[in-house]
Amino acid sequence: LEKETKKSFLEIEKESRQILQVLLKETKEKIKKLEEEIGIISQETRKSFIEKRNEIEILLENYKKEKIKEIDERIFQLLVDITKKVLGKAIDLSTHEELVIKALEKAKKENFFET
Amino acid sequence: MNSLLERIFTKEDIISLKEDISKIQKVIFSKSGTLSEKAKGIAKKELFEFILEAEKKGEIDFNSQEQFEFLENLKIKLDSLPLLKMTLAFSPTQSTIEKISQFLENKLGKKIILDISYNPEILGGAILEYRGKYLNLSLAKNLEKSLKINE
Repeated sequence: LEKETKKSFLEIEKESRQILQVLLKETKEKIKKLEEEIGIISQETRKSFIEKRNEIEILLENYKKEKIKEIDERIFQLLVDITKKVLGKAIDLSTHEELVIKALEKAKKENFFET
Repeated sequence: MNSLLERIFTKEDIISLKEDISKIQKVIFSKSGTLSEKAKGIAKKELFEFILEAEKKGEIDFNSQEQFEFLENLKIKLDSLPLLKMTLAFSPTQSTIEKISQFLENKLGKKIILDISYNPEILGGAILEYRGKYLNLSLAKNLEKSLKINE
């Protein structure tokens, strides 16, 4: 009986080792697969983050340009309005006449009256 | 025709002259005599003298229908005078209008009727429209151009 028991014990031990080895191998494979998946997800996330960041940077740059253009236009219009107001009050009748005659002379030079 | 146009400068002058002509036309068939007799008291000095002159030259006779047609042709001639639309920054006096008209006649060698409108926004100079052409020679336009260049 003792001999039988010892034999059985050895067999059980052997089988246990085999099972353990299979389990260990499977676990290692799963860990490796998980690591790969995490790597892929991490790469994708990073890529998506960079893309989004670039998009936002472009949007911000365009917005900045647009706003600067708007401000420039407002300043220009303000300048035009102020100059118009100042000039409008400063021109007397004889200067007006002179400007009209000059305009007509220019029109003639440019053959505006030719048909 | 030249003597008649001496005191004609603007589109309004042409309208007023044509109204006088129409008034004479209305009485042509109800009166007898020469056209100058019929026009007396209706036509203003320049028109009356123009009719008298034409009669002296034998261009109008006693026939009422021909007198009517003579005036009708005169209206057509007035309508065919070249018209220059001008937008100015100020409301011109009669003297300014005459100066502009005289300047154009001297430079172009022909009578041009002025159709003047007023827009202070253009500041000075003029915006011109002539026979379908447009030219903006206003001070406002020049000013905007200069400011843009210096921007």
